[in-house]
Amino acid sequence: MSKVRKFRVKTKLSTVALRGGITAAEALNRADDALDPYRGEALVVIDALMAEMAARFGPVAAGREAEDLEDLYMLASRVIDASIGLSEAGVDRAAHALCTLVDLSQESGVRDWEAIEVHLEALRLLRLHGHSFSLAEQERVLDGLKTVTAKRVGDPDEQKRA
Amino acid sequence: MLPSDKINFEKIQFLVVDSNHHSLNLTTAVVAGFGAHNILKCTTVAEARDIVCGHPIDFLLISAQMADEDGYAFVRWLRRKAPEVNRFIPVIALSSHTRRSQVLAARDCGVQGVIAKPLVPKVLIERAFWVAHDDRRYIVCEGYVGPDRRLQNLGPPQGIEGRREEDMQAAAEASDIEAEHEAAKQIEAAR
Repeated sequence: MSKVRKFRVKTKLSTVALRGGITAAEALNRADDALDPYRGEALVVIDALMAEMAARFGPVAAGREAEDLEDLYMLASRVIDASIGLSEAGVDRAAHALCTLVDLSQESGVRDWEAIEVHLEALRLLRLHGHSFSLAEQERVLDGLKTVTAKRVGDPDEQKRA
Repeated sequence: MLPSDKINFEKIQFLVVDSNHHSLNLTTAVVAGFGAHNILKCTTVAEARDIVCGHPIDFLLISAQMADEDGYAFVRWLRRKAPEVNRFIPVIALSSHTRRSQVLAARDCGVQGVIAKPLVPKVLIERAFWVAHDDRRYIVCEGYVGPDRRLQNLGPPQGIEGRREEDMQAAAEASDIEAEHEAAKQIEAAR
């Protein structure tokens, strides 16, 4: 049996960071202000990423069979990164669903273009109109994506249940 | 965490690592908003390794999806090979999406926690508070280096004899808690 060492570590975070400073409420207000200059930029980044996904992996992409699905995964994960402030629209969750689809596709070796197109379309829909959707309407779109993935590639919840 | 709870990041040396420039800027802006003055940032694991080898760091935020090398693999390296001064610093991984094949890597790399992106400032500050108050021991063994992955020690499963020294005590405590709950239920039923 291998030897196990156990010990406690006193970190600077646990000592210095808990002495004085600003309130959590104030810190959150300041962080929100600090993010303001990036919100417009985030939309530009997301739109550029979505345009690239459509051009390379959408229905009009003539050379998509030669594309690497890993690039689609990276583009979708960058949409999630940039979706700060767009969470209420469900864009990040649709991008997450696309990452799950690609991950399962890579595992199973199944490349289902219709399923990918549905995800890209859902992303576009939520980016443009997600803010005006009710929560129930957003959930219907996202549940639909989960169903498509389960039917075409594999059960996205399998890992959670295992 | 209460809104009135105070936090002081002025003297905390942060390192933020993310290969996505936009995401790196967002995380840095949030941390600066929290009052941090000392923030090192970089976009590759190779740079992060150099920084960790040359500067004392107090709090590391790293993207799990790095372009040059897996973020979880970096944390595994940090916990085993980094200079002693930085080996056991608090680490939060930021993840856009966890691949099924990476779930175990995320659990076993030795991070204090994983936060899902897009980064929500409230989630980050709550986690920072939690990490600052985290009193778990570090475990160093052949297969794992990092904070104890058990958030609560309830002892070994019922009917199984524990292998650890503290298992008997934890099992006894868990049994006491169970007995207290049972007694409380009986009192409630009797009313």
